[in-house]
Amino acid sequence: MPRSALMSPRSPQDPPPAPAAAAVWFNLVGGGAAWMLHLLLAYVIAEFGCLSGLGEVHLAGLTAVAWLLIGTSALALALASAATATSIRIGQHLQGPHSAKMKTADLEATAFSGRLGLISNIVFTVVILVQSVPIFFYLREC
Amino acid sequence: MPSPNQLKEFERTWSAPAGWTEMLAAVNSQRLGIRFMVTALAFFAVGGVLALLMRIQLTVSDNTFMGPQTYNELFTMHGSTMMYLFAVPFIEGLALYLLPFMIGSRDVAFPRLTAFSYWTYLSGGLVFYASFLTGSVPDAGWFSYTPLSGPAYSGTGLDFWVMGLALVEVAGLAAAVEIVVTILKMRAPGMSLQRMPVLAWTLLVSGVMMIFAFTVLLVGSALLELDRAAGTRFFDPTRGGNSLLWQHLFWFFGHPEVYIMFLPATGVISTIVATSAQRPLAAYALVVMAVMLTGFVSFGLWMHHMYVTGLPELGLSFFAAASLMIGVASGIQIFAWIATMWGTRPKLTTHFLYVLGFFFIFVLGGFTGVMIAVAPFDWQVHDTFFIVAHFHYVLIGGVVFPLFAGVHYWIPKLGGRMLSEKLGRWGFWLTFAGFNLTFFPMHIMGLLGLPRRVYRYPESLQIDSYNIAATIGAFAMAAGFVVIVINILRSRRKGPPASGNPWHASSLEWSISSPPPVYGFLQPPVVRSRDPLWETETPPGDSAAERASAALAAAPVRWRATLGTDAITGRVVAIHVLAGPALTPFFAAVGLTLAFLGVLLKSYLLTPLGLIFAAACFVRWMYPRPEFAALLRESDVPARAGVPANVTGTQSTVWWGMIGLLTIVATAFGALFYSYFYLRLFSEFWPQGGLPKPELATGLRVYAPLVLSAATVRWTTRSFTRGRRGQMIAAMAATVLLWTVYLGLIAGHLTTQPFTMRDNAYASAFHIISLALATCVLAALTVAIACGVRVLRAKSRDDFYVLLPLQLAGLFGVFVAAMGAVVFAVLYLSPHWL
Repeated sequence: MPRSALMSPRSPQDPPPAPAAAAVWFNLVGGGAAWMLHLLLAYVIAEFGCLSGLGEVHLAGLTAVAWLLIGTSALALALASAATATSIRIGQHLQGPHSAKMKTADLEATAFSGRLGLISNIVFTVVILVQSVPIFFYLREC
Repeated sequence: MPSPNQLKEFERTWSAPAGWTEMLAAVNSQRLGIRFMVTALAFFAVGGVLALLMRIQLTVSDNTFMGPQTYNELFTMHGSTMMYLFAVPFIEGLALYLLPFMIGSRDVAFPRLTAFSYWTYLSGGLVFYASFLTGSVPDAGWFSYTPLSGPAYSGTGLDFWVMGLALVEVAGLAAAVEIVVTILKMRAPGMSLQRMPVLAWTLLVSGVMMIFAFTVLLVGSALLELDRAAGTRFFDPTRGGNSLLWQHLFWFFGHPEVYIMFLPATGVISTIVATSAQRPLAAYALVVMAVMLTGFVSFGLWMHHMYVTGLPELGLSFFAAASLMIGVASGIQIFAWIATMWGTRPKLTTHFLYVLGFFFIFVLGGFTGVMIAVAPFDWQVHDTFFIVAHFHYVLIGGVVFPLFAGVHYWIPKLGGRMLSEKLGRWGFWLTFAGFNLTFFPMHIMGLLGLPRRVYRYPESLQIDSYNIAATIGAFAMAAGFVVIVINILRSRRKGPPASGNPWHASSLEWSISSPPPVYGFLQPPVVRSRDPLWETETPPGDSAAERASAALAAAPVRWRATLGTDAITGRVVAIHVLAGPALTPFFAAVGLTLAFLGVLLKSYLLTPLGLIFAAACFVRWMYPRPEFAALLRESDVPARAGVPANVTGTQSTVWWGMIGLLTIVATAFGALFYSYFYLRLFSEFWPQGGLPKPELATGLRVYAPLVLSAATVRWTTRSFTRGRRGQMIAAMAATVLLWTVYLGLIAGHLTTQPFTMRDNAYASAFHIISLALATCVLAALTVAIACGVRVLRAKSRDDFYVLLPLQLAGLFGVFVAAMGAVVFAVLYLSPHWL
């Protein structure tokens, strides 16, 4: 039986239990953490990168600040997407046959956490995308 | 069924002591919740009177009713009162009163902490207003920007402001930890997170937000007072400081603050909308997500208060984008409410009228919010009355109207009597019409050029008619508030008796009598759905939960307790013992107030004496009493319930309280480090003033003992749990020695530095960060010694009164050691790298 990264460590013979606690928490806070990271890093890069002269350095027509911001946005989007993917996998995991072995309270709580995480990660991904829009107006100068 | 004698003893255990002691020693959340709300409303009334005085001055152009200094004092005190002394404390009071009933608990997690919070809040408010007696009233605005609030440009009025604020923030932090731990650990059995009322969700998110936001403001105000009283240079640009640093610190608190107020208000709206529609709230998961999203994103908007400070446009644009996006969360909630009410015919009760008023006013405020989120538009209207109009629309519409809705909704539960609907409608319409007449014209006045915070304006602006309308509206609003108060007071004697559930609501607080008994629930309820009072059939329950609930029916009789549950699933895990009445929280608040007054009065002996007195009160408060331990051992309630009464580790509420405290301390250090790096990044040279870079070898020598103590702390706790007494004693001794060595070394290091904290901003930051850490280590050392004495006398490894303090001391010890490593990196490594 293939072992999902979501599962707690078990022997292959035992049916997979509830999703790992770390996966559930990442599903809940991953999107928010990605957004926070994006905003703080983007601001620090924008302010201090421009002040320190990185705005004068050009690579392939774009300033170094713009490249750093694009990289930061890509990283944040990747993190938010990973959180979204984790939410989807938790949902799939709970719809599988092994969910019948979970206690009702645990199943309901995990399902709710999964739903909550999925919606919030999608919204945070959209927020990060919107926050990245200003970068494209400052590609060639600070 | 409990016998009459058992019931009588149970009631006596939960009752407050008689006489004047009750006033000072009460810890019951119902009583303290009402005190918070009444005190907050009293401050609201005073703040309202200040506003009326301002409106009189502004009624006509070139008015001479008051001078500029008085006007400055009035708008400062009005804003400070409303933001610090009314809104959040009222919400805290509502939470402390309602939350236990709503989640099926008998009280909050730390009853004595609630009492301490109230007395500290009251002291803070009195300190603010004591400034009127001295003739030196704060006059730099509720935000007190530097350098205006610095030592060069302001008098002792600002010291009253800072000290009063600090006390109120400490009270707020205590209440925040209380609310968060109560919601996570003390819900009724079966109340998993997805069955929690939305109001509880909003209070949980607000509580977490308070822990971060209030701490940053506390640090900021401490740095401001250090600049004023001790001559540090954090905000002094002539000595390497930066005035904008204050704005960053302030608004990092200031923006989340409005959502700390707004989110619980939305929780009230969600509750009333669902009840009025007689239908469960639509899109519950979306609403919860929107609440969490708001909580997170609100911390990323603070720079939209600083659009005109000259920050780079690219940086500002990220905050503009985030400011636009937060409207999404509010929009989700609004559409959920509309969906809940769709197709229903809610009765137009007074509380529902306030909900409708909220919709109208808050949505208008939201529109103008989206407008000013756009930086170029904000550049035009910043510091005009357009902004005044905006924030009053969102704050009064978004916070005050929902709170008044809540008051009208829950007063029957509080007092056992219904309010008069006729008076309620008069109160609503006067308030609603008065509000719009006051604040709508301000949009126009702002666009026509009337600036904020000016005590008069010239006739040439031609805005007299708008101002006259605004003043009439303000008095109409005041009349509305008076009618509301009359309605509440009148209902206490003349209101018809309220039934248990007059609104046919679904949540647990309506399952007990009105007014509720002092213990709340005679038997803790078992929850099986999100709307327990609307269940038409009883789903199968959890037998363990039923057993625990039955064991606590009118029990225990000689000590206070409620059930403790898992934070996520709501499974019963423990019986939580609750503290009874005590005078120590009151005296601890007195000690803290004396300490702060010492700074205010420049009586520097009073400060350490006050702190020592407060510390002694805390120790007495928390020190377990042997007779109580015996009582618990003899009780059969835990055995009947099938869960232990004294739990340790992550099942203990006290453990979570310690995590809350450590989060506060970590956030405080985070704010200090932010200040350090902010000052560094705007300085051409670092260290400033030609000072030498700190020597790595010296830093290693001073901090190594502290960092190494992490290992000895872990060694101590492990040795104890494994029963290795000899090793445990050695580990404890090593820890105490390492911390003592560190304290001696840091004292010597700081006193032999070639600079003082007054020299420049770098020197200030270096000293203050070092002293902050040393203070934490001193506290950890004191705790460790007290704990060590108990550990040495322990007869058993399983003694709860030894194991839990040891766990907590261990957490604190590892924390200070880890913080030592971070401080070393910041102060000694970073100057060489950055």
